[in-house]
Amino acid sequence: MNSTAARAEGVTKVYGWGDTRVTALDDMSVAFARGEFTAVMGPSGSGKSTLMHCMAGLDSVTEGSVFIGDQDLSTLSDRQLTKLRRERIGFIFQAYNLVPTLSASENITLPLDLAGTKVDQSWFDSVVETLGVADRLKHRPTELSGGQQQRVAAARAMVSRPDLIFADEPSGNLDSKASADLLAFLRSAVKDHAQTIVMVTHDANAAGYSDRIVFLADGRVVDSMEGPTPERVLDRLKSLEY
Amino acid sequence: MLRVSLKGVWAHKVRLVLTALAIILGVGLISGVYVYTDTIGKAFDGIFADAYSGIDIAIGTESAFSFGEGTYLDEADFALIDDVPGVEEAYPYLQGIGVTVLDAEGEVLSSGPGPPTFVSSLSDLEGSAYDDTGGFTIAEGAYPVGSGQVAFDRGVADLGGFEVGDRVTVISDLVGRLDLELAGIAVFGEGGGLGGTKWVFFDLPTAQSVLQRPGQLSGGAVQVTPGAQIDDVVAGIQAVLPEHATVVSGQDAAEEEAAEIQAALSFFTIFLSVFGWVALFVGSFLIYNTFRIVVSQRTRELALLRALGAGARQIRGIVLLEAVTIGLIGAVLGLGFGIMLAFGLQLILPAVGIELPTATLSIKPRTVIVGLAAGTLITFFSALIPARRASKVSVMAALREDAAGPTRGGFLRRALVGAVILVLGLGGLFFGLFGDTGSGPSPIVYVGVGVGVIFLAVFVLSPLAAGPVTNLLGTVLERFTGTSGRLARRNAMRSPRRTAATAAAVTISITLVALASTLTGSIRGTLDEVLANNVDAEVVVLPAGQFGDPSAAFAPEVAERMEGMDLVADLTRIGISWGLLTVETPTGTLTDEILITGAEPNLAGFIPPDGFRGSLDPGPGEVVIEAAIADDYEIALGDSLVIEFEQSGERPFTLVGIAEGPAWAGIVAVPATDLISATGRDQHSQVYVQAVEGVTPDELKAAAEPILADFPNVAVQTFEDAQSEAEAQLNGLLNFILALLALAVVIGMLGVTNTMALAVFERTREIGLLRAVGLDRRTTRRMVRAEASIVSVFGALMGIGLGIFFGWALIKALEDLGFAVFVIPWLPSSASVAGVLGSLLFWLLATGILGILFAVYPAWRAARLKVIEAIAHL
Ligand SMILES: Nc1ncnc2c1ncn2[C@@H]1O[C@H](COP(=O)(O)OP(=O)(O)O)[C@@H](O)[C@H]1O
Ligand SMILES: [Mg+2]
Repeated sequence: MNSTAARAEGVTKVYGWGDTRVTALDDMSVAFARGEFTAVMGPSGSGKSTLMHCMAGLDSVTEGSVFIGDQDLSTLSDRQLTKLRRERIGFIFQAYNLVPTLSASENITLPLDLAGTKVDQSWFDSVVETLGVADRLKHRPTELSGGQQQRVAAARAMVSRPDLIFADEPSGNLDSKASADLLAFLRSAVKDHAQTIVMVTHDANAAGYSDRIVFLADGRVVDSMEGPTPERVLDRLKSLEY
Repeated sequence: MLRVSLKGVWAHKVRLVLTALAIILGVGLISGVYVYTDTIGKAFDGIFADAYSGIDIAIGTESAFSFGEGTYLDEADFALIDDVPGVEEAYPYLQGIGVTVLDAEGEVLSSGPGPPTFVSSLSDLEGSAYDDTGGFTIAEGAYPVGSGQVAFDRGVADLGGFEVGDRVTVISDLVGRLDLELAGIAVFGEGGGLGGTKWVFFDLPTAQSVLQRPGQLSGGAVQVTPGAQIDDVVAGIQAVLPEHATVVSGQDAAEEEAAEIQAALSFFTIFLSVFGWVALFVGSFLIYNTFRIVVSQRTRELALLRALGAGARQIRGIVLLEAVTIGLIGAVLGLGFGIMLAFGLQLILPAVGIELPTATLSIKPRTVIVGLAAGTLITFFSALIPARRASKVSVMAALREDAAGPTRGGFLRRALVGAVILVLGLGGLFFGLFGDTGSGPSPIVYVGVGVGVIFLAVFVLSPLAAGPVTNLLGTVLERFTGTSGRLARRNAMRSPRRTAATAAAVTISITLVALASTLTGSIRGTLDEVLANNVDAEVVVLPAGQFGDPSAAFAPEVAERMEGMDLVADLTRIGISWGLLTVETPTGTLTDEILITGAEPNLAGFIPPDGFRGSLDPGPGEVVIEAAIADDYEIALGDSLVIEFEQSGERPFTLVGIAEGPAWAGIVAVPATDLISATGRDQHSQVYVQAVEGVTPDELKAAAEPILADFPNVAVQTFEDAQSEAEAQLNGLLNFILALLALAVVIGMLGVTNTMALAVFERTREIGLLRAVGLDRRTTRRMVRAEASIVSVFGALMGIGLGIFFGWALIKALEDLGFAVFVIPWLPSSASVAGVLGSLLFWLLATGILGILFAVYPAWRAARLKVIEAIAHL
């Protein structure tokens, strides 16, 4: 068993050609440790989302390799990537996380249903209980508040017990109370269930929930910090002139 | 503004193509039918102009009968023409039908369904005033002379491979087998045929004997002396001929005959173009729905335009202009398609044995105008409601997040409005079918309007049913397909109005399909019941290959030979002729042209009635009538009525019996002797035969066939044969109608394609999300196809329901005509293609599968979306 849940090795991601060419990731190497809550920070346009997408097999890299566990994603077909996403990866986007036609509980079990895997009912119950959405399971996404929607998305990411969860500014659209609830849950998932989480954020408070922070700028890793607190993060951000 | 519209059209090419396709197909069918029938009409005009080109005055006869064999002139009367001042020469002829030509193997010579074979007198006019007429002349060999010679037209000669001098066999319905020498081959006018008709020529006395018209003529042609006034001569001839003779100038005759053909063709044109209009009607739902979705997708863009200062009218204009552009493009391409279609028909029909005259394609201004107007206007009107909606988009919608969401509410109002419309439609339908429309518009109008209004009601109501029904269908599907089925079900349910509008296009075409199936199923059921339970005979002898002419007949020798067979216990001969039945009722005089049966006393032993009053064996001057007809005419036992025969005029009869039951449906029976004396014909249209104990129908048939071998114009049928023949005819009819409806079905399904393509576009981000959390490409495709299938089946369910209902109403209304049984043909009636096509379950299944097929493209698009771009969308 490897202690690295996922890693990027010399990953370059280029968008467009000629004049519109943008290097979103520039020969980046980074590793995310198993059972750790990593925050990814950096200014807008620094390549945070691109990194998430490439790590999660949603997008292909221009150069370099991405590994989930020991699996090199570049060797996988679209079907194998799809399978990998639903079985080994969980997702939380900033918004529009839920399929509007499905109820909360159907959204939560969607990856399992797609994989044809049986739902572990006691795990499901404990996840929705912890996230405080147990009484909202029959509701459609439009009938849920923003915070509830994000917690349902978090439940979906957790319920298939993925190797790791990628979260791209999951609390970006939430008020501070809803944001704190969600982050506390992510924190406890790491602590109580050794869940690996990689979360993009530009909020120092949010980053304070993590074990480690990776700082990006212009598609490169420029710094990192272990055991952050919001104050330390703010200091570091200042020194990085964000 | 035009620029915005045109850009809108171009930016959505798929939508453009699909919407235009509906127009192209509909306009194509309509204009194709016009071009084709106009072309045939032009060809016939030419033929008649040729035929009468050398004739100054044409003499014929008229008849009060639509279906009879026509009336005749006596030779003695015709001879009087010669003495009319101004007549140079009068040339008589006799024409009729009732012969069958055999090929070298002794089989009936046939090139498939078509008009019957005509018999005509033909003599050599060389040296007379007529040697230059445009009619038939012998091109090869000589004119037939005497009872041993015959001439064929080129078409018959070619079909049978006959050459001048060959021995040929012609069967006359009246005088039986004729072994003849082929004296010559005739051509029409410059050398062609007469519109694909088949002709058999004799000299006049022989024609009179073959047609059993001794001393009689159909008419003639007159040449006037140079300088004579044609109108004066016409009047002079009319004065010496009996009243039923018609005397007109050759030119008028050509125009009249051409007009008659045009009238017949216009019926054909209307019949065929109805299917084109149906296709356009279905297409209008597709267009309506497309623009509805597009407008809701573009709410933000439109609101932005409003914010920038565009007025409501301008917004409406943009949408309508876009619609008209698409409509016009579709209509122009549709015209082109129609012309190609007409051209194709000219090539294909002869290949399948349907011979019609050809000419260069006739594209009349009417065709172009109707085609362009239909395509453009239908698109315009279909886009009207969406355009109005677009113009009501508020400026605020540009700023709001989820402005495109469906407007809810109005459930009760919709239900109420729908119910009221439904009641109105049902009222119209039932009044037209069962009510007394009196002197107002014809029942057809009420029925047509009623059906249209019922459709409208169903479309108002269907969004209410869309949710629950698609939910149910989807739940079934989910059982088999799991998550993709669930997603599909939820998608189909998310906008009931859109689902209903998409399904509506499918509904209309499937309604017509189901109606055709239900009617043929019910006719089949009626026939089965009549044939299986109500006829007490082992076999029936019928004219062969007469394509539904009930008065077709054969010679008495057939029955005589059957009677002589050891296996035959008893038989009854039935003669059938058209007659005009006239009854004085308290409310006025009723007259109808109906079939009169000449019955032998033992008839009731072969077709036992369910019950009867009075007698079943009419004596001279007596008649027995089926109960339903007696009811219609309000006549009772002992009443008198008048039947007019074409050949002998009016004869009084007394009603002595009223019979009930399906076997007697439509029968008006007089004694055989009366019918023979009234028509001057001793011939039979049916002979029912009972076998002796222990002989099966098939054994009797096998024994009878060799005995009747030299009567190829009659067929011996067991009742199984009769059933399968009736089945074959019904199936042919059903296939024909289904082939014409196929276009409407296709357009309905294109509507599904369009809606799905637009939905995939709308749900780009959602599909991206699904793909991100683990929906693979295959399942994505399956999800889209499953939704299409659910929507299609929903449409088909409504269509089948409506079709069954309309079928039931029609059968009820036609009960008097003998439609005794109402059958809902859920299952195939036989293992044949037509049997399967006639089954409603097949269509339910087929639309489900078609839904999948027609969603292949949108499904492919959905699966091809790049996950990352889809997530980034919006
Ligand atoms: N689909 C795309 N096409 C072109 N450029 C893109 C695309 N996605 C991202 N970029 C560019 O790549 C860079 C990194 O973007 P992103 O990863 O979204 O940054 P972040 O999430 O850190 O704000 C930016 O300059 C962005 O403009
Ligand atoms: Mg980002």
